[in-house]
Amino acid sequence: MGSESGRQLSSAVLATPAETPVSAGARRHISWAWIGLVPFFAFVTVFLLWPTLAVFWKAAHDNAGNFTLSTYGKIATSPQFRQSFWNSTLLSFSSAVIGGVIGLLLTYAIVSIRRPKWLRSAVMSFSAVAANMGGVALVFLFVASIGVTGLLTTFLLGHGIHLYDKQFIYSGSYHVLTVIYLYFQIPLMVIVMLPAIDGLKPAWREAAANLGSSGMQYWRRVGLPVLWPAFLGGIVLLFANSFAAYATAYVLTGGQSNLASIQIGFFLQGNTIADSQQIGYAIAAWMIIVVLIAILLYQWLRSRTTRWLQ
Amino acid sequence: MAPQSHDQVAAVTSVNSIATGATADSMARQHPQPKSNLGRKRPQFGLWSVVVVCALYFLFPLWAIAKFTLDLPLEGWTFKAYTKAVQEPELHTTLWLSLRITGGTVALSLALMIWTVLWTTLKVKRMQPVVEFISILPYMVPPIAFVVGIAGVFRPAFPSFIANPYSLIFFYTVLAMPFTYRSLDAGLRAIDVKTLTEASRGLGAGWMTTIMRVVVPNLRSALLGATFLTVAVVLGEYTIASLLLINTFPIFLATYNSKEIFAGPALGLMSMLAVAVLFALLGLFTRKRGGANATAAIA
Repeated sequence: MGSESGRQLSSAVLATPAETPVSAGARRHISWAWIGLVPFFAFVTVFLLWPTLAVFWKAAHDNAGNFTLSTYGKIATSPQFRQSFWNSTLLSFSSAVIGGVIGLLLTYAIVSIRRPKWLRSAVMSFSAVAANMGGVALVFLFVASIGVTGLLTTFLLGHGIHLYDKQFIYSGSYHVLTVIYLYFQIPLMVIVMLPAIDGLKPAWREAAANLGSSGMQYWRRVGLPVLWPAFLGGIVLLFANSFAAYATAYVLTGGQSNLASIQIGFFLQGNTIADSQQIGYAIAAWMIIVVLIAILLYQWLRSRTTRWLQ
Repeated sequence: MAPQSHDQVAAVTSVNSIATGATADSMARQHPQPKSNLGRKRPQFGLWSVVVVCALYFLFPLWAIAKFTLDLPLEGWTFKAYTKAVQEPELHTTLWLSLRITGGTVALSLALMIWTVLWTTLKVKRMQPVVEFISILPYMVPPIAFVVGIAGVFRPAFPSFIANPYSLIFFYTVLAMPFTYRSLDAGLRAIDVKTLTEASRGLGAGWMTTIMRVVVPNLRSALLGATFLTVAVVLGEYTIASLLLINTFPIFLATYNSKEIFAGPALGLMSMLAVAVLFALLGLFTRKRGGANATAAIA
């Protein structure tokens, strides 16, 4: 965050007289200054841009090498792939909204509760770890909890509730995946929302109270309008985060769930007919488009947030 | 948004904040009283119930996996699952491979990004938005889509490169780039690198000396943040390694889990604890030097 203030700081620095001779020198060499960025751009071009753009390129060509957009269209029209994108969207949406709301409440709670001082730092440290814990390790936690022989499963069984009997839970279920994804979604939301909620100045609340507004009015007229862009931005980030997730779903279901990310894995591993390689590229291309839009939206919303939270 | 009501409230409060002379951040932390003056008891209960419910959700699985791996059927409480996992020979080879890849990734990404961020800040300031955008671009490409591109490009062009486990170093450097960039950028913004380097250059130091003896020591917490996040990313990365068929530690963890019902999760818990220790160390180091670089880099 704080990028605005950083820029102000450096512009203040630029104004100092000691600066002048160096920038004059820099101006003389300006046409060569980009040379220093060659390693970065070379690296990024070979290892990031080339593979990424190749996804779009290869998806737009058929086996004979002719340009065609029909593969992109095929993903959008075939019921199978539409279903997998729909499942991914649904899973991402529900885990983003639930995780976002709970994350917001939790952040507000740890900022407001002040009595045990360690609570806030404990939650923050835990969040930093858990937000990064997608993947294999996460599956273990939930298999041990709500798997067939999981602790909660056996505990409930002892009280006459059969988690697995009535198909209430099975490992391919998107409800289960949602519950599991919350384990990294809520912490990510906490990390994203903390600066915003910290930025809610207590003085605003005092002022609102002095002007005679109730707590409800404060939230409706001040608190929520200020937090809204940050909250929406957080939700969008969570959506992208979940949409891009692969490892957790793959390890948990052994590749049995029909999510967009899992479908790509199939094509890459050659579990399908060789002809349809383009399909894998096209799914990947669509995924990049979705996540790209979501992250750009997040960046835009975040820039709106920082206006109030200097 | 309701801009009008904002401006009014903000105008009233700006008097307050000017009077105290505090920034929003420090005010929120150092003046706890005002917020809780209004309706103290009732909201506190609600807030605590949120914390307790979340604590249950987050801590129960940890307790479950601990009990599951420590309290074995017919054996009772024992460390057997853990000792068995630790002695697994394949663990040593895969973990060692992952650690070497991690070391390579940290070295490459720090060398590349320190140079680039410094150069951008000092020499070509107007390129900064471009460098920033490209640096966070990997965050916008899902690893599963990225690996499709990698396989599509490098498998036909450089088959032996892609079969080599160390090729992962380059792709993991890409994955770590958003974190490394954010962390270094935040660190550089905080130290006024321009004046520092000018002072150092003015005293007759060369560029290498300036970087190694002036810039790097001042960026210690940012570098630590970048390093630790890179380590966490690499040690947990499953998608790319799995689809390139490279047997790193996370891949072994997943297959071992399907073979060993108790030792598998035991190993998983140990790896989680290792990452937690890593982040605890990071928090310890960065707090001393006053910077929330680690979490800032994620968000």
